[in-house]
Amino acid sequence: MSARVLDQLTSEEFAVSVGFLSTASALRRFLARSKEVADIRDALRQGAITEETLRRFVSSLLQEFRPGERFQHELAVAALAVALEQRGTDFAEEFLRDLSRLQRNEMGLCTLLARECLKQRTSLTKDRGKVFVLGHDDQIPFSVGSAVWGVCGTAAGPARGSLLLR
Amino acid sequence: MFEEIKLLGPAERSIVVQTRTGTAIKNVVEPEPGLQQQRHYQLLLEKYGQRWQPRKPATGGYNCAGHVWTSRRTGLFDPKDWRIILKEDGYRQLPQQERPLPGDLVLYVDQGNEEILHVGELLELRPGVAPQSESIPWVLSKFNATSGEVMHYVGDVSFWESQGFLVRIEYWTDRP
Repeated sequence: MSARVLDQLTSEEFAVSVGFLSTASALRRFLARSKEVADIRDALRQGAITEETLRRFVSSLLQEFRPGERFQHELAVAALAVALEQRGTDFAEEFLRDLSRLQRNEMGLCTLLARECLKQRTSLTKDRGKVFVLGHDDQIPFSVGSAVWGVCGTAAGPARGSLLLR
Repeated sequence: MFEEIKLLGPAERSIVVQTRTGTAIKNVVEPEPGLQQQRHYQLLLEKYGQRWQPRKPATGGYNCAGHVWTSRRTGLFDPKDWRIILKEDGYRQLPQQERPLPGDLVLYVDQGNEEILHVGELLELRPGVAPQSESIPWVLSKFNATSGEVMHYVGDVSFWESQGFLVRIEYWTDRP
């Protein structure tokens, strides 16, 4: 499972599914509800992949970075940013902060997207009174996937709490 | 993270873009699409663009907003800035009963959060299919920073719907 959830981010099928979205905010909204991002969140939560796996995956993608040429794996990095947006770990914070601070034309879209993710992450923790840091599925008395969106209420309006997942 | 890129230092190319009233607009001149992105564009054309008429192959440097507001010099990537341009450059939204004209702008707005997803330029009003039917706007679009430019009927943009976006079309003009 681990290889598959990450490999699908570099597939042609995934790139075509993203279509013509050109703004970071629209791309973020689309990715947040995509199967590929959901798969990564699930795989992380279930321990099928680890943050170290992600670190190595990103490092392998960056091997193909060429200065002056558009980065071929922008969408994969963008998807990882969205997958990590609500994850309350040092790694997720480091990933989003470092990506958001890059100033390279070759990967401008995923940098802008990381800034959007950070804004969303900040508003989640700022606007809500209480932050629950959760460990594993068995500590959560309801479905995490739906709970995150339901509690955070991005579509349904204001919410009372937020969940950050380890 | 991203140590390899950080070591290269910043390289973000932009130009001076201001609204008519002098507000600076953030922009980025992005590189040309690589072979992979050109292929993705071809696949998207095959999937969604069977009735589109290509004007220009996949190209970098600018996006839809850069096409209509910076004469294809650079890309403007923040839809909030697009709203500022509409306001400060004196555009007005056409009411439903007012007919758009060539040169007007077509905005595709996400009804989920009122954000503009895309802006294109109206080229002409083509006759409707049936006699007496309303004419149909024919639009020039550059859908993203790596796509080409295509001409298409205003409603022939089914890809957003398939991605779960509910899109509203608005017409804006600089005419009085």
